[in-house]
Amino acid sequence: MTAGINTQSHPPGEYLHNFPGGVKLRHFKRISCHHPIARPPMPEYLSLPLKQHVGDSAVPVVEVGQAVLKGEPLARPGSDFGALLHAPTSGRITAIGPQPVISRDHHTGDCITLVPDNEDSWHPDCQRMIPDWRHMGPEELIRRIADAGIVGLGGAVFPTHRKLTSNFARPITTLILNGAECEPYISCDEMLMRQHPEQVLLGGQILAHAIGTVEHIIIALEDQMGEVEDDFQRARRLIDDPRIRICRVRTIYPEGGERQLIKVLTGLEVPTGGYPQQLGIVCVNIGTAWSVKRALVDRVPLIERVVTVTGAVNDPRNWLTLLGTPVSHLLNISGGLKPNVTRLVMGGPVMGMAIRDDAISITKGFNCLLALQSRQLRNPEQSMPCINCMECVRVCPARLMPQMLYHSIRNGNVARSSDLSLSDCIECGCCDLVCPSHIPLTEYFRLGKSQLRSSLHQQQRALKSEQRHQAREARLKTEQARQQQRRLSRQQAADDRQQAQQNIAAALARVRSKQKNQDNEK
Amino acid sequence: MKFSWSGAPHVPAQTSVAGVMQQVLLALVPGVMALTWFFGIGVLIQILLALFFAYLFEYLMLIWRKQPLAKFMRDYSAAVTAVLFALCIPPLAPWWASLVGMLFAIVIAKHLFGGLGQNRFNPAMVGLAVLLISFPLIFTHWSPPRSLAEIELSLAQILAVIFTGNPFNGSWDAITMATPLDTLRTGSARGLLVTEVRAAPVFGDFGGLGWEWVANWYFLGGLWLLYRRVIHWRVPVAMLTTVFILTTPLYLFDPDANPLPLQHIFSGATVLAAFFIATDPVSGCSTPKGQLLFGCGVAILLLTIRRWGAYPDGVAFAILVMNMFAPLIDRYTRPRVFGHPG
Repeated sequence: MTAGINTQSHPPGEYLHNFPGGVKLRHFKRISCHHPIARPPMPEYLSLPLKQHVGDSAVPVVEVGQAVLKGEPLARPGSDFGALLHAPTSGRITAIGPQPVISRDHHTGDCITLVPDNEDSWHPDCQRMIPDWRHMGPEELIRRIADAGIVGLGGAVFPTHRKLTSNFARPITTLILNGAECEPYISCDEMLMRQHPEQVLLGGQILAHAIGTVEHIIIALEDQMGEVEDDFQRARRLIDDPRIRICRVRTIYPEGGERQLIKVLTGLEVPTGGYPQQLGIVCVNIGTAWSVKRALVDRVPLIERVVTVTGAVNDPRNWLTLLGTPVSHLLNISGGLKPNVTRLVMGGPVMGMAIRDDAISITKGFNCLLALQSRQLRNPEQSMPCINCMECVRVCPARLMPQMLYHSIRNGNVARSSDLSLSDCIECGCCDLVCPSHIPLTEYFRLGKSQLRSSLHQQQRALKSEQRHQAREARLKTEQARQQQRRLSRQQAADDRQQAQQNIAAALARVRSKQKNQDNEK
Repeated sequence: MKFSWSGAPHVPAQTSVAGVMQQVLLALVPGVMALTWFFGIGVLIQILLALFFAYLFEYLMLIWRKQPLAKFMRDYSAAVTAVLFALCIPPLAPWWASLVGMLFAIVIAKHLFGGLGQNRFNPAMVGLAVLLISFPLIFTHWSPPRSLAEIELSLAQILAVIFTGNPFNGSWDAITMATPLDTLRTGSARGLLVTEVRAAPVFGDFGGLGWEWVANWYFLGGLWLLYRRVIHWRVPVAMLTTVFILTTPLYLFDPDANPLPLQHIFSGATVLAAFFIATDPVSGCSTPKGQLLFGCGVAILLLTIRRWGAYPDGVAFAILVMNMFAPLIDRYTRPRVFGHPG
């Protein structure tokens, strides 16, 4: 790392920097902010995918037919890297098996199906008194955060407890609570911050305590969230923690991206392939901080989250939704779909993942359910040749050359794609949003990354077989040498034996001739 | 219920290739009007001729190459090529000048290289360069600015000149006049001082009479394109600044032998080139630093050709030469990727 890009002169958040590129988008957050966050009625069933986080799938610890209580663990982490899954309500497990899930390639994944008994009775573990978090040590706090199954709720679904410990030499001194949800339409974090600013700040304090070495807690808001800042300032005066600083950042997409936000607040660039922890920074979503507070103060594990239901629905709003709630249920209680809706998206219109089937359910990373009408969608058939207009270069937050990458991927030139740093693409979609030729650039980059992976795989296989070949050659050679050695020594032994026999024969002959001579003399 | 699937982003871009090209055409309107005002209706006739041949060749090539007509006939790129070409040839040029120019621009420079977005060289400048080299005589027949014209030609007379190729009363001298850059060139060849040459009536305050006003209107159109973000500031700023920086010391050192820096900017096609031709994205540079270098390069070559070359104005050649270097410049001026060490 050179000093040039990563020298910090101000305390984080005091001076706002710029990140390269970015696009100003029209926002439609307001349409889902008319009602306060509410709890939807209980759905008929809950379907809980075993993989709702980065890492390995969780392993069920319950059986079909078993009755479970609210907050009871249903599945444990499949490996060291994963997250727990809890029962969102009390009821009976009716199935464990494949169900439709959100995924790029697979249409189904293993899910636990839970039919609620509508009693909503708590598991005793969730009602047991726990000591005040201020009296817990970092290890205990981190263990409890892991036990609550908390993952990054901004969409990255990275297990939160893994973020709080650092293997790097530099201690973590800055905790950023990311409230800059820069995609149009999504308002779940904004509503949460409006309604519970003090709880979010408390969550931040708990996280800071768990990390142990935090000197700055920064709340990042967008400059369009005017009222939210006032609410936070009020909450901050109540809490009175000098480490807390509230920062308003420009509303420019993708400012809410972790790397972009860190650049804006601190001027530091997270090294390619590296982690914010290297720079002494941890960045956590607002919703995650709130879940931490709920887990450590209210003893509620991560069983529900705020979901924005918006776009072409009749009554767009935010719901505090139980995990596992089917999308169709949420759409029904949000007034139903408007006509001509042909696309459902998990997340925002720019980075969100399309949903093939409304039978899929809400997972930990599901921040927004967006319905889009056919006229709002882009038409891939309208794309024209690239005219090299450089708009994509201007807006790329990774400072890549998207138009060059597009050509190299089309030509299948993996070496050139890698030379153009394809792996640094964050798939933010900015280039797509400004391309006058309407080229699906981000899709090309995903394709290019799979080209890179398969080429890497091939290279590794080639390398492995070459190593195997060399090892075999070496083995054969040593084997040969050993055989040679053995042959030589056998030869030697044979020679020695022969020599000995000759010697004996000679000695006998000498003895005989001596005797003969003596006999003759006699 | 099932829904359609596609990768993100789900919403379309707000711009289009046709939109970009339309805005370029729109930005040329003030300049075209000024040029017509000073040099006669012949300017518009040349534009129409060029448009006709451009679309004729575009149509034939698209059919030959089996490309979707509806998509490519409506992208306005052939129109931009045609108009830029027509603005660079004399208003009284014969009709076949457009035919030859567009043949080389649309057929050879554009479609034989792979069509829209694939051309290595600026098509309009390829067409112009072919004419400059093969039929240099055409470019000696520029109309005089309106106030200096001896005879005002009627529309019928202009059409007759363009379509028969003959001046109507047998003499070109009566209806054409050397351009300011030509005058300067022949003047200095005869050993005259710049100040003496500039006393000729074709000169205005900075550049040529009429020409400087046309340049002003091109400038205005260019500023609008910058405001609309259709073009980026780097090429025009680098190009005009380099012209200014290179000519100012020469002028200050020896004003008798070197023209005013502003004259270089306000005569010939300097401003048109800076905002409309050198900014052609397809054949230009695509890195931020590369665009600066591209603009500088065009300016240096332009001045070199004007000063030492065989042609009075070097815009076409300067741009074509820089087109050749664009891929190389791009290769060595890639920006530092976010998170990579400097």
